[in-house]
Amino acid sequence: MPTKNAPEHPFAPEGPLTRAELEAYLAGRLSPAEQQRVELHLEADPLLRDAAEGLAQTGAVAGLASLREHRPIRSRAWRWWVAGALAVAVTALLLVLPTKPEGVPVPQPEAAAPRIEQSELAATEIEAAQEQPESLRIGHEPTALHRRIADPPAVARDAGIETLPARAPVMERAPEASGPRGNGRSRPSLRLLFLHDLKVVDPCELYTTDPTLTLADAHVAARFADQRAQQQARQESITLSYTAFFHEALARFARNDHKGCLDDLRFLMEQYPDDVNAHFYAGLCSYNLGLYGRARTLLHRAATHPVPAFDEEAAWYHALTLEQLGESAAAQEAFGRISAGQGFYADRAAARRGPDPRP
Amino acid sequence: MLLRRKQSPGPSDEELVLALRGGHRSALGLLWDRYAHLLYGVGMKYLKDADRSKDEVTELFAALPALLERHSVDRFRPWVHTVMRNRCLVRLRKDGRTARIADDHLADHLADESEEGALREASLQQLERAIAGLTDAQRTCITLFHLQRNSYQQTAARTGLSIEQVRSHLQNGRRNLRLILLRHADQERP
Repeated sequence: MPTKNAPEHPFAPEGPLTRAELEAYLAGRLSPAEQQRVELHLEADPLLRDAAEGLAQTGAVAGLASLREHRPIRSRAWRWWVAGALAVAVTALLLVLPTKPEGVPVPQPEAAAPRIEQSELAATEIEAAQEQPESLRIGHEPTALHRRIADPPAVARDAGIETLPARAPVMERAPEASGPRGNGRSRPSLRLLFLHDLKVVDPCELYTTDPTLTLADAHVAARFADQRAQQQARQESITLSYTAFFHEALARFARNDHKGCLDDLRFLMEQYPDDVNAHFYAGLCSYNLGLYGRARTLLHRAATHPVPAFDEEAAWYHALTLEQLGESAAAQEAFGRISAGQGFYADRAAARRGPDPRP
Repeated sequence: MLLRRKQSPGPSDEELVLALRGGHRSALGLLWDRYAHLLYGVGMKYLKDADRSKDEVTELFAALPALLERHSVDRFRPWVHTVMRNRCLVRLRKDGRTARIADDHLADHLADESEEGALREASLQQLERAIAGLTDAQRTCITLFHLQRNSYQQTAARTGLSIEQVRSHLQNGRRNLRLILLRHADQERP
């Protein structure tokens, strides 16, 4: 079966092979075309061949999960060496942040959530991550709960940003979309936006004012040599509304540019660390980039955020993440909770969980 | 204008090695991300034990900065593969187990690289001509797998061979292809 994007040369593997692809191959989760792509790598790379042979042994993949505990600690200084351009972007960010005009209130979340540890989500980490194959990606399913699938067709979608009237949670309107509220929290009416058909909590639900983000051209810091240059750099910084920023970030998500989207959201979380929209979509991006540890943290925060907009879908993707991390017991428990909630993902969770072992 | 993200594939292994040599120990983390799971797999292949494989990987990475100080490494990937295999060899020898793997596998590794280089440099016409000179089984497997993009499993199903046999024919076929291509090149040389 020919692959969709066959390499030009029949003996040359196509693109890099990610760890997730290799694991999916070993687990037999790939289509024949995807298998062949991996096998072309195996044929061309003795290290990969040896590794695949070893990892195919019983219990080998399970042992990988604990291997990550031994990872050498990363130093933040690395970003200055790795890629000059990337460091320039980071520098530009750090430099323009103080330029926010005084007197402009910094929006604060109405309810505090655990802060995202920004120092942990480095640009280099995103840069080094690898996009997962299409079959392994999450968040793009047409029937996903965070996608708009049941709105009246009369609503013009071309407008890009559509503000829907405040409503009872969309999950509770349709029988199949009634999410479980396992934690007993009530779901208040939330004003939602759909950007590229993806659900976003209207920022007015999260912040007391319409938030803005201060941005700058990435190239500015490259010529940042003296005070005058610094001043010029500051003048070139611009402010963008939260919604417009999110619109662009989700455009990247919609076209599977998860690195770009995650980088946008990383930037947003530097200014709004408790943003539930950012937590959820950054979690999906992290998963799709194979950054499962990161995905677990972000999706957990989205699922337990005081603004209950993504509870069920975040819990579902969090459970899938646990599965990817090899934490089978925790994943099974999570699927059990989702299944018991009788909500949108209940059937899928029950199928993942398998038969109930209880009598 | 939003900050735009660079979508480069990131630093090469060799750049990371340079960084590590330059004292940027955090480059070790990126090398770990790229290789730890593969080297663990190599460990599993030879040692057949998850804990011992993990130990070997961890110890290798702990020793990596010092190793890179002592050795000139042009290409990190085959080098670290060989280092890991040798560590497994030493471990097996310490355990009193037979371990005649290192030299043979190093030779295989070099042969593989040589084959792949030769095959990728050849034009499709040259390849087609060379493929005609293979044995029936090798020709069939090379055609089904490399030219028609069938997986091992599909190739095995269509030929009635086992997957191991398919892989063997592919490996031997590529080796022979390289030899045939070299012979053709010699014949065409004035």
